[in-house]
Amino acid sequence: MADTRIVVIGGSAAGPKAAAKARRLDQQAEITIVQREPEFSMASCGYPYYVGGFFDDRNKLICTPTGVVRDPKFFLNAKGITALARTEAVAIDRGAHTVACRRLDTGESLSIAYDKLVLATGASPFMPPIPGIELEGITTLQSMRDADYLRRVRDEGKLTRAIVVGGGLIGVETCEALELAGIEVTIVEMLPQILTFLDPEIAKLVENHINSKNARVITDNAVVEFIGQDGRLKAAKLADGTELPTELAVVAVGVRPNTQLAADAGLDVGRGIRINEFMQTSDPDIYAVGDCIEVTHLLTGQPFHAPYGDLANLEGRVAGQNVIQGNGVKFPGSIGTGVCKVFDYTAGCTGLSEAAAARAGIGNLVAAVATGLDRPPFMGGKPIIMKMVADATTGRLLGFQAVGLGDASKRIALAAMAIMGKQTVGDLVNADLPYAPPYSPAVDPLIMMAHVLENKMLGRMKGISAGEVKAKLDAGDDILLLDARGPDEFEQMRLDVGETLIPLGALRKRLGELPQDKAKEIVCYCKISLRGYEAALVLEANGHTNVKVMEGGVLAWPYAKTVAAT
Amino acid sequence: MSDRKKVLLVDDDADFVEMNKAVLESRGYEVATACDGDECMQRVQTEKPDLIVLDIMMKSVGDGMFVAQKLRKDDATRQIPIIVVSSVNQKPPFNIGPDEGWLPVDVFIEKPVAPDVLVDEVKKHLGEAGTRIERGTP
Repeated sequence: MADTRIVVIGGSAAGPKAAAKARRLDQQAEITIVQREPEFSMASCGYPYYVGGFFDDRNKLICTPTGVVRDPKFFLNAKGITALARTEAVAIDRGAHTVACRRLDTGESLSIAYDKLVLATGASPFMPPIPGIELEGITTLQSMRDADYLRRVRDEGKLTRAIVVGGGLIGVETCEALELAGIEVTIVEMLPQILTFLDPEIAKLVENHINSKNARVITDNAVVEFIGQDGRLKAAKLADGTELPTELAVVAVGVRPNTQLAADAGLDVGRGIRINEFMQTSDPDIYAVGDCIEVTHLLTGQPFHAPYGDLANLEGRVAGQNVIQGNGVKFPGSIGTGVCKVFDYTAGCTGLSEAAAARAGIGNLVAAVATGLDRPPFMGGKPIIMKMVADATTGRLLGFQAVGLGDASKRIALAAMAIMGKQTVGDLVNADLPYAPPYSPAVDPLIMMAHVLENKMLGRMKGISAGEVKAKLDAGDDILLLDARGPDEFEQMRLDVGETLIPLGALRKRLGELPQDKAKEIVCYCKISLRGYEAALVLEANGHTNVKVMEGGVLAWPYAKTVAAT
Repeated sequence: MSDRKKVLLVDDDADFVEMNKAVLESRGYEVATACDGDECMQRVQTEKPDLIVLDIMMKSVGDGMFVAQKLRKDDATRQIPIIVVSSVNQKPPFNIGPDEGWLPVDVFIEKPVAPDVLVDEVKKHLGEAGTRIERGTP
């Protein structure tokens, strides 16, 4: 029998992974990768860090862990794979099982025959038709060329102001990279919040952190025109009429899957190329992987576009196996886990935010916010503000978000596994996790978060979010805000919204200072709201009937607060 | 009052408007027209259309996109289904599709569009509420 011919279109992440896996399982197969770009296997998620100066050697983005650049010679010698750079696939003839290609440097056409074809055509930046977008100084951060351009901007050190259009993952990472290059950066986000995978009150905390740097965030506003001078960008005009002087604009408003080649070949396309759990398209001889496909959300059951480098590799591995061995392995879908670094903050989520769950029509939710330290205070623990979402009836964990100076990534990873494993809040309450002071407090923040949510579910704690408290204050509701911290902490940082300070230790003696009307609404809190919770229990034991705990405490309060000068 | 549904056709291509007006009228729809974003906003006030067929590149390159954003920000117009019919993606570097923020529309169809395809989309978005994209309050 003739050797199997595998053709992979796309050489960034998912494509090379599929090709390499296929090779490992079949040393005889004829494997070809067709790649439009000059490079292969680019660590595209690393671009912002190259631009930001975390490392200087560009080749580190395209080499193996041992330092070998993944070029066509590498693929041929080390993998036995023919890698065609600067080659574009222009059409698929499904009947003849051929792919028509064009060498971009010579214009030469060639036809490559396949037994199994893997599409890894990737995604392209969403480029809105804003007048002036063709001006010099406007770019995306999606290709090596973009990374080279922005790195040059950094190295030249001439620019002083930049805007980033879009406050998503790439937008905030680019913001940090440019700020580290000494540039004053403004993120302009059209929606009312940045990082829309987070709930608004959590995203606001990240926004505050960005605003504390040489950067600022403008939400609920959009660029309607780029204004130039002699063909170069000089300002961006916003929907509200503001003109922001700027010499550089990075457009990062998302990506759209490259589905044209598949659609032209008559393959099913939805929010991306449609695939089954074997990564197979509507043509059984054609598979698709990476940023060009839609995947199933494992919690909503709905297809969605999940252009993430980690998933691309997992999908590529599954397709690579199936093209050689027949459909034996599956990629079930995604729960939308992601994380990003935003200056000193980590911000990420897994599963559904409360808003996303509601949008998906999942009713009967319970959610709570909590603040914890990633390590004990004596080991320099730093705060993480978390939000957990669960099904109120079954307790099944549906989502977890975490942001802050502490190690949020570890907790997001743990929560992702709990969601994948269909675990409940009750399972997490007694999770056996590794503990030693250099790594975590005795009760890990994720477990503590589960304790808070369990207390809320059992009715032990009546939680109220910072957003709800703010809304009550704005509406002029008659509530008593009780800060249960010590006077020193109060001096350092406080809400300054008319709150009353009674330290927890003094509360039992000072009950007489509280309203005689036991039905008056009292909201207790502290730094993270553990003392706030205990204060609420003291008040309830003394006959107060309308006592709530502000979840996450002062640290999770995303609105203006008074901070002492240091 | 007529129980015929009213479609507002917005395009600066007079031939496109004329042809699709005839097609939609032949299927029993009442049709109003506009040739750019500003006129579209006026017609929305006066004609109260049940659905809008919207071009993107008109007076300016993103005219239709900004119109869609305005319509979805306004409580009075948020629920009107919008079908974009455009060739904007054939003009590099533009690359757009339905998006909660930038292009808050129900469907994006590349030009040229066959009359039956457009009629099917109009029917679908006037008839089946469940097919619309999520519209939260702004």
